[in-house]
Amino acid sequence: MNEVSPILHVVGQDLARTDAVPKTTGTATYTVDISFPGMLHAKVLRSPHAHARITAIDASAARNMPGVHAVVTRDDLDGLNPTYGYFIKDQPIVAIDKVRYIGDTVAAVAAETELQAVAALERITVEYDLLPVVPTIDTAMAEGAPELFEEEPMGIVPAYGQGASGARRIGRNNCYRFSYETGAAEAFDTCDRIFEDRFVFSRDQHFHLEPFVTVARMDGDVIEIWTSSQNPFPLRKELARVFQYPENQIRVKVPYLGAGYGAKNNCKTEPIAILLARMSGRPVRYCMTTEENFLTQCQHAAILDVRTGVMADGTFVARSGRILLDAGAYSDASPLVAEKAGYRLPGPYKWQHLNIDCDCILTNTTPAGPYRGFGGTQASWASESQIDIIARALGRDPLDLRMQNVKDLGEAYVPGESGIDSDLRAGLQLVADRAGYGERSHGDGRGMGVSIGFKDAGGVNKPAQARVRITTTGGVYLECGTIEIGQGIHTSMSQIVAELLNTGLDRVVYPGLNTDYTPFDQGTNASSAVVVMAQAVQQATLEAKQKVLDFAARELDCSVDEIELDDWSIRKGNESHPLAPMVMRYYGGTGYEFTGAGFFKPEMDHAAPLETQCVSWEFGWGAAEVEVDRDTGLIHLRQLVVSGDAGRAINPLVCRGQDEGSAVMGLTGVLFPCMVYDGAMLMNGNGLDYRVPLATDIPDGFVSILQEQGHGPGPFGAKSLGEGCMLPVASAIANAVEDAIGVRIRELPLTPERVLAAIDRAAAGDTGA
Amino acid sequence: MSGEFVFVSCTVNGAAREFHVRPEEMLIDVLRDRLALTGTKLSCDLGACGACTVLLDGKPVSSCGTFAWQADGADVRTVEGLVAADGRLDPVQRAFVENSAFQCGFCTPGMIMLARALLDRDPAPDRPAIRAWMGANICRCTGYEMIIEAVEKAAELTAETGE
Amino acid sequence: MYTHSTDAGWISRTHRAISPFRLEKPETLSDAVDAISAAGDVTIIAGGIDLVRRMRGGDTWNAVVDISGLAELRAIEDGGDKIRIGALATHWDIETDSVLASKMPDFQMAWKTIGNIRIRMTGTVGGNLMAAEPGYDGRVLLAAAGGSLVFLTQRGEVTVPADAGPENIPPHALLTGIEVPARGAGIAFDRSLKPVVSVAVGLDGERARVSVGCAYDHPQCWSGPVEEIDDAVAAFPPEPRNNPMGSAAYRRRMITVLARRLADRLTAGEPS
Repeated sequence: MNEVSPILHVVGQDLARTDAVPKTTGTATYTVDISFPGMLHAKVLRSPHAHARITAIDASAARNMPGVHAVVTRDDLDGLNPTYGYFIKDQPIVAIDKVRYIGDTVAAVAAETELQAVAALERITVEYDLLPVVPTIDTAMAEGAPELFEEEPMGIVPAYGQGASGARRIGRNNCYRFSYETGAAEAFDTCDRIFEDRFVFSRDQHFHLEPFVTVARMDGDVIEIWTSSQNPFPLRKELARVFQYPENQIRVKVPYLGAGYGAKNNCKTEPIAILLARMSGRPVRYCMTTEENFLTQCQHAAILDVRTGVMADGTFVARSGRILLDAGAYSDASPLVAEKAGYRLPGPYKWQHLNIDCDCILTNTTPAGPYRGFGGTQASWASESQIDIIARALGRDPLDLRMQNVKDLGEAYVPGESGIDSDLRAGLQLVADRAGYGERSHGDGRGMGVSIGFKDAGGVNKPAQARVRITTTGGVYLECGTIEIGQGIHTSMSQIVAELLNTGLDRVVYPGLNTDYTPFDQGTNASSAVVVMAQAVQQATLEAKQKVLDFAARELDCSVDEIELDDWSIRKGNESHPLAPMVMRYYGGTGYEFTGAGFFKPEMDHAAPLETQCVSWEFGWGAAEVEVDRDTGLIHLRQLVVSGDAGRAINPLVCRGQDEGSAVMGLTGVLFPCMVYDGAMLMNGNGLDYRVPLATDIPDGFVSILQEQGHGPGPFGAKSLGEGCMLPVASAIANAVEDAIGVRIRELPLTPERVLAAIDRAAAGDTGA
Repeated sequence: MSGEFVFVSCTVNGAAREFHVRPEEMLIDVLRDRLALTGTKLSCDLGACGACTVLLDGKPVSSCGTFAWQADGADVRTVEGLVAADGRLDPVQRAFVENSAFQCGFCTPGMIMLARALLDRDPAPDRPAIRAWMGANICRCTGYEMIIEAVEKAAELTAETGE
Repeated sequence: MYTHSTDAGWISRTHRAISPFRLEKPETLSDAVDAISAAGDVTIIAGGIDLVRRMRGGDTWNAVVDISGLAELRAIEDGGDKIRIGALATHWDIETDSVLASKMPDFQMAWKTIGNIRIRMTGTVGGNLMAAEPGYDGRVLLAAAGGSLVFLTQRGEVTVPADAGPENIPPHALLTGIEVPARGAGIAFDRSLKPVVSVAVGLDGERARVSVGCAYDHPQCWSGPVEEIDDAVAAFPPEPRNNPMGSAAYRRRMITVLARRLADRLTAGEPS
């Protein structure tokens, strides 16, 4: 569609977002704002132990407490499939045989007030038989370590295409392995130099300000929920399985989301809220606290061993890697994250051979799941750090080495894959120039680093449907399942529709999601909306438009080629024919709606490693400048220049917000402590002790540059955006630290203590760091 | 005595209000539950994130950590109260709209009230002053730069219109 | 973690599950002292920032004594050789006070780094000091300034130096204010390594004071001749906290680095 219209009136404009007024005046409705008369409040009892068998549980006293209407323990799960998960159904609604991390859900109460619910929970007694605890990847994999699951939970390994494969339970607490291989392993034998490095990645928590929250009630036989979810349709399917209930008897409604960053996929607060609502016959609100968010979902910590062979002239030849993801206590989305972390480890470079395994290791900690970047953050951290290590060893400038080896525009990522749809060299040069990389002074405690963050975007095999309805008077409904999670998608999708209909943005309405009416979507994730759903939206819009034009041509007794849609009139030469009266003349005074349907799904393709070719490739180019305090190890970030490629920006201001927001989110895992565990006990899992970046943490030298290279597959050349700019941040900063003080740090976050320890080791002559 | 109600008289967004509250009842719940002013959001519930920021006699406070009786005799303002009777938005709201200074919107009412408190004190703050002041509240979406620019813009709008 | 636990498990409450309490609003200082001296679990509320957090975590009190109406506790008074700051003075009152600006600009500047604007406009000096949170800066700064805490009890006024340990705080005592020597002592403060460690140094002629926060349950303080500062800093601090947030060795080393740096800065007359 690049050639649709050289002059765009709506697309590409910095129009005010369609949710701007509700969100700035306090009228926007979120799930936390949903309330019903007689609504009960759910609270849960959480495991105080990291790993224990439940030998007895007695909630009888709780059931008789004032205000209590329902209590759920493992004894209340009859008739359910009580476990859920993505590939592996291992997470119970409430603990059944064991608890597997501190914070695991043991029991739940619905009462008229929260205080009553808490008082009832205090009366529940549980006997635990403590088991050995494995809070880290190393301890969980060790010989003789206890298995979190003694028996294999129900689950699947999906089909993969060329070079890719999956496996379950291939080692102790190893719940899933993704592997990818291409080219001959002998390529390593031809290399002049081989580099082997271990990188460690810490785990952030999403820190979405709206907590996990669901309001559930029974509407006759229909289970009706309002929930803060990024993927209501897959959620509905999973709930149907858990409750053994027809999908069309479960109604999921999604108001505005107070963000998610990946966390709000699949079952979180929903099963307990529904169960309590069914048992009590009353509406139930289950809203977690921030502390409970920390005990529900987080990013994957990781250990990444990367082996890379290169020629003396800097040519990249072969890379192998083994990634160990800390999955936490349940598999959740770990197998999917493993696919992506493994698949993204090569980075956008030319290789003859790749061989990568990514394993998900269960530990007695908070379950890890989808988190912005989805494995790409971990992979980019290792890959882009090692490129600087290689450059320094070869006496090459790290920027030049990247320029030498990056994929060309249009070059397939790996055999069977689609072509890279950005000019990588242009993006890298842009951020380097803006930061003053070529003219930098470095080594004296101050230095710069660059990085290319990389991921495949658009999801895997995502089907998307959309519907466009145009009323008698030209009002447009865009019915589409993409969730407004903050990314501005209601606005950008509506801008696309308005542009295609040659009308104003104010004519387009994007109704809230209700699975009873909204066309199917697989989920708001993978930076997919503007390249996957938007193609369905475009098709739906054009179909509706064609119906209007066909109708008008018939009414005006002319050929469709002679007329154009101009707002809600038909332009024919110099004549303008308002459509409303024309519609009513034909369809009657009661009016009519023109409807268009759209569908998009990438083709199945067994030659593609993930069974469909990647829809769009997402990049974040980054350049960082730091000043390192050699006495304390404190890093002062002086500049952070990031850039993403929107292909064609539907709304440039919205795009800017995505790039800047993701870059700053990326700082969390670099300059702040992240989730700090003392054994299996999380030390800082609350809003006060957990540090996310504040306005005062952002340097004046923070800049984002929006590129529109024009090569995207979405409408008007749009590309995926919104995750890319978080991906280069960690490695750009670590690379800058080495540029500044000659010390390579391979473990995140770059806390002052860790930096100082590395300085000490370097001073002692240990260059291995 | 436990359970005894406390009488609270205050103005909320300019209107006189009277309540009998329990001592442990929080201002945020009076605003959200009794007055249906749900723009004010609860998030961290520890006074750290600022999503629940309202103005109490012009001071930005966390309404999740302010007992309702602490508002006795005070002037309480929420994000809803910034909208004029004729529907016209406050310059801070207009600037947030025009600059796209929000994403998910959950922190936005608190951010807007925080900014309002700044501009009430200092109609022309410089960028470092804005950054320091706005550092009180957490936004996980935007990366802050567009918020800071919106506060600058709000100051300009105020100067232009004399509001 | 701000959760409360039973043998059976953890419960994370919101403020909506704060246990009911009786509210008392004394109108005089002596009534306030009587109220907190009464039997039963009684606590004081001023700004409320810390108390609400503790109650949300599950702490309960029969009665809460609101002293915010005692206007006399809010004053900042120039007492010649010392400045008296009322316990109800907010952080904002301190950072905008003209007496402090002219006589103790260093102290004022350092105090400005506390919390954020919401906390500074509501939080009080008394609340910050009496919360005795390891990560709070008020006590660290006050100790470096050579200040003291003034309490009122039913037996009269008690003054406790800010560098004294928590065991020196009298029971059933109402903090009425703090006193800060106004001898032009320079104060410098470094909080850049929080929450691992924070250090404040005060210089008053030939005498130096060092106080260390975050690394202990309570701030650790030393005072002595300025030329002994290096030896003292190496010797006086007990073993700091050792946990995954920060090792004892790192914290100890940073105490020496930051103290030396701050002392040099003060000696050179640089602004804090």
